Amino acid sequence: MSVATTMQLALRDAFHRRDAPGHALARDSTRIAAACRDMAGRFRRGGKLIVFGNGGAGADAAHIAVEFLHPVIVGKRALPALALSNDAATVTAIGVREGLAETFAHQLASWAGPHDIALGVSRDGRCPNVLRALRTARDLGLLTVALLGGTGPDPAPDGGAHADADHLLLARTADPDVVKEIHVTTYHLLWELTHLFLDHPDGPADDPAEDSAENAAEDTTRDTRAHPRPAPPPEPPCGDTCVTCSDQATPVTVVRLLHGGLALADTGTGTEEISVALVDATVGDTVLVHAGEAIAVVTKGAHHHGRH
Amino acid sequence: MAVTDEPPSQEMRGLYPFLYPDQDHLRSVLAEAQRSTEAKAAEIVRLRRHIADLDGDRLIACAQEMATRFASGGRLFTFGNGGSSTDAQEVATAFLHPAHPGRPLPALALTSDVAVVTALSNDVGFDVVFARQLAALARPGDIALGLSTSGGSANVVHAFREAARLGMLTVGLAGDRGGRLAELGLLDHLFVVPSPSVHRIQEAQTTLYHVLRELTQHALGASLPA
Repeated sequence: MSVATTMQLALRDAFHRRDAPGHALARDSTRIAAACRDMAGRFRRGGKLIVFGNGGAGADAAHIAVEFLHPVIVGKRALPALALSNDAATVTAIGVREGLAETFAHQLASWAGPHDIALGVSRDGRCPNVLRALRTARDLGLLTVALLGGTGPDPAPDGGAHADADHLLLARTADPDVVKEIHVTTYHLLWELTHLFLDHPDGPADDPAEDSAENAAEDTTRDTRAHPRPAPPPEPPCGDTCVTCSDQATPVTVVRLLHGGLALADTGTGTEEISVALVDATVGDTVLVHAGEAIAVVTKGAHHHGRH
Repeated sequence: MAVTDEPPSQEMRGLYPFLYPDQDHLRSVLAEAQRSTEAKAAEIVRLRRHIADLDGDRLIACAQEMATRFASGGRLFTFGNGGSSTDAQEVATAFLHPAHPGRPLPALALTSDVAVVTALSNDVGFDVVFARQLAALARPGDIALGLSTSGGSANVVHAFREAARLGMLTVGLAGDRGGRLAELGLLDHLFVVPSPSVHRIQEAQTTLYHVLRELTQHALGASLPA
């Protein structure tokens, strides 16, 4: 066969290989919806998203974090998210001293709060550090989501991902390139549908993992002692623009404080729910809001009620 | 939970076309989330097939030129912003450390060195972060691959101008109607994903660069993945 013919065959084969796994994603719609419902529940309680993966999946972790933190859709709230694989200095330091398998679990134990979400990405479902971090996350009471790939009913026979993930989302192909492509669509949906549940006024406050974590109080206490986790307050940004994207921020007045770091704010044209998790705002304060997140207190108001 | 029988095409006219006032229960939201997933999964499968028809021959031509450059000692430099920066990283890793059988090929993502990116942004401006790295690192036989969902990112446009000036092979991945990258008229290869959705554009671009890598390896004589 001529080179031109084999290139045509290779092209046709490459696109054909993507069809079946692409269609298979639609069959996971129930699992994806359930994961988003539970993720929205965690964000509503003030939880953050912690993402991790190796190699190209580490790039996916960064993509997921920026997707939640700085949405492409204007007006969607910035949600707290962090990619552990971005920190090359810490990852390589842990890797060289304690071994690569310890990398994400170590970082997670220092960063995690009980309302958080751990999202691990592994294209073959076998990455030891991803599986270990998911187990650590579950022990600490986090909601755990695994984005895996492979074929057959049990893609990771030696891994504990099945036992350690509340939500297991699987790209059904052995080709790691195609796994990535299915994962990209999956995490775009995770972002979009999490906001759908957040926007919905009657959304759930609880999820199964949350319940089990609260019931297992002794375990949580033990883990807290084993991994003291002081929560450093985020540095408040200042100025009237967003520090991450330079977009203009809008001043609004806090009308009422709600649970989970949220508040009702008077925008001048109506009332909107905003997040005040990053600032110390009380009723009457004027705060600067960007993408639904208050980023600074401009003026303290007349009322100084505590949060309730 | 049962999924309604409405055709998915009705669900694709906007991001949240399904929030009707009478559907305010969790059960309804779950059902709508499922339906949205099914619609979007079908949409990206269709979009990939469309791209195979639209760009198949041009992908082969591009891969053959990339293979020629690599065979002559050329290197690949990749760049993009935000989510596209993670794609630039993915492309570099996929060429340099292939998961499939194939030759490791020299590739570098211009977004990975935070010291360089922040130094250039702080001292000169964000528009030059990729162009200036190319000016310092690249040679005429190299390849520049840039991604922009809008086609309008100023630093990506500047990078391609510099790449063309240097005599690099230029490969652009854009979306919608191609934006400024399509207007430039200086790219050797430009693949535009015809979709108004940033998310679908990114997903289809992922396929485009994976297929480009696979065809490049094929042209270099490596076997296809099993």
